[in-house]
Amino acid sequence: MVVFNEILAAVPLVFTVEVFVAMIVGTAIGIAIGALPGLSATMGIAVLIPVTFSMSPLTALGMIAGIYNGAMYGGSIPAILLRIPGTPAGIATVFDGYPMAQQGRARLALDISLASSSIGSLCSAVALLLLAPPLAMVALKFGPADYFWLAVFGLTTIAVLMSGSPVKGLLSACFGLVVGMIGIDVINGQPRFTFDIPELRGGVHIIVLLTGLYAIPPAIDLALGKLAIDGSKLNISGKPEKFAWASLIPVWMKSSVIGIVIGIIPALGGNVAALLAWNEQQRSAKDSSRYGKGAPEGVAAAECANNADTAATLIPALTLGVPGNAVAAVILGALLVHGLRPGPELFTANSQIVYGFMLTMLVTAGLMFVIGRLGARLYVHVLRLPSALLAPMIICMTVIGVYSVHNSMFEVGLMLGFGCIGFAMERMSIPTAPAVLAVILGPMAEEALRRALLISRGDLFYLVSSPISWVLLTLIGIAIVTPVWRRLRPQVASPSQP
Amino acid sequence: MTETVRRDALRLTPGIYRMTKRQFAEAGAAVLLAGLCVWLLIEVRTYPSGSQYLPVGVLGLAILLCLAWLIALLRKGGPPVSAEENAAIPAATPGSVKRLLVLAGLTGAYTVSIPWLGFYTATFLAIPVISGAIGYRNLPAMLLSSCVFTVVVYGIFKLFLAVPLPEELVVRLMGGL
Repeated sequence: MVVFNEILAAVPLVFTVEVFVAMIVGTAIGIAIGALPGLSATMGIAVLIPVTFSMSPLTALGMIAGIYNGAMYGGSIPAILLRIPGTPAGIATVFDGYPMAQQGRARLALDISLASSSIGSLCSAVALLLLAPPLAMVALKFGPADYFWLAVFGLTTIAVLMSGSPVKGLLSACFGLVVGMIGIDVINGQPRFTFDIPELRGGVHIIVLLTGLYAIPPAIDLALGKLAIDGSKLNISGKPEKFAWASLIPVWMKSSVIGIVIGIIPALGGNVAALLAWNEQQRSAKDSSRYGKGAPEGVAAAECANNADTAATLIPALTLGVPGNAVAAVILGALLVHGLRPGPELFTANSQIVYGFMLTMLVTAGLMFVIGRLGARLYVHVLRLPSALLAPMIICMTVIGVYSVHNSMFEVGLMLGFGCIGFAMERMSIPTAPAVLAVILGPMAEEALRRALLISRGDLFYLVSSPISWVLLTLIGIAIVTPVWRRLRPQVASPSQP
Repeated sequence: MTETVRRDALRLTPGIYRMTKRQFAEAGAAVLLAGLCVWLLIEVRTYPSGSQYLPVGVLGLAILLCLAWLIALLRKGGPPVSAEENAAIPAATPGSVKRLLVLAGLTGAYTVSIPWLGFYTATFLAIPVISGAIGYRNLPAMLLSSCVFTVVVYGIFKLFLAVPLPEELVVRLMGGL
């Protein structure tokens, strides 16, 4: 009942003009970003975080919610029309979406994708509203030692499971931890890794790192022509056709559940959800031979699942500080930018903002349907934007955005430096998400560890004295063992994919 | 989709592989990173004990990881990468390296010019110059998009967010007249 009252109290805040306009703008931008191959929700949020810096927290988070939901749908547009997923999560949409487009049913495929995406996002946002508050209540019982292990668990899962190579994932986390240590040690005032540079004494602002790591590498890729597409192949001609939409209801129900469950599990993500939902749909269909050849249910399953993953990834992110994927890690960074520390206290200290944010995930799911429907043709034309023009625009936007935060050219230079590091990491298949998460969780882990050691007067056994600590230690063990187990287990034949 | 592939390392003798250019670059990065971590560890020694715990632990772990990365590269041609990851990393060509250097140089020039020209003037000039330098040849589209983008940026930062940015050269010159 208390939670319900909190949600009701946040409703008027979400429907202020400022927040509503931010949600519309965010959703519209998100769909466009998702539609452009190579650009993702992560990149969109990273570019716009500096712009949202001077906004109120809920306005900024409303815009971010719109980008997140919109980009996930936008990724299906090139997947259907060009056989190129706009985002990694759009990969399963290609299987049936592209054959539908080749059969002259592109318009129907896009309509199914839009409706399925909206329904998936709606279900996911409802799951977030229902599941996050009770989980936060449980997390409030955590002591300093439990918090330390929770931060270690978050870092381990993302670093070990998100990358093909645990060594590279952990190296990325180490990089983030070192960046997070730059500045004055809050406990004893000792400057660390500042090298007598006054600008570094305050530490590296999370915006500088996020923008550098996530906005600059895609801009470089665009400039190098890696993401160039042939706009002449775009064709959404075809007459509107009648379709039995009710036949998709079971598909939506099943795929939403798959997407939500996958979203809650750290380090999986929308592409896994979409592939699993598509496979399940094909497996359970009476005539599985239609799949991969233009079955509308295939598009619905993939799109519903990848959007059902969106808000669900925020459940562990908001309550425990453990994000489900890279976008959630960037959103945690955005929360920090606005002075909101992820974790259970968020639900007590800033309840209206956090519940308001969850509601914006729900509202933007609906807005996405309206904007996607009204701007269908426009978004197809977005694919024709020359990458050589987009690249300098992204760079200029990030430079101005980062400068505007503290009026510091030093931070602009630092951001460009992080951009070069991010590009090099991308080229060496080193994931960047563990670095971002380490910057967020590193200080939390260190503070919790030092507090635990102060309470116990240096007794290390205090770190393993509670049952919660043991549960977390077991989970850390599972996360570390999983890649080893994956390599050692006999190869199981995967379901057939076109 | 999740098929695992080995990089195209060439086997010379049992257990030893000749590295490709990329693996060589990765090995160089591992050595560089390990060296950097050792240097930072020396710096950390001057910190009081409480401030040392995490830096020493993290840098020590990073050195071990660099060594593991290097050993894996030398022994087996590197850790396995997924087919997706492999496809996402195209080989560097002389053309792409040239473009990268041009982009880096022009981005640097744009950043340095901002305090003198002002954000909006520098941005208006940077977009056509950078896009032209990386191979785009439609001048009207370049100028139009540069103009629209600058107006949008002005609208967001100056009118909507009211962020104080360095004064424009044009405004300074007009003020001096």
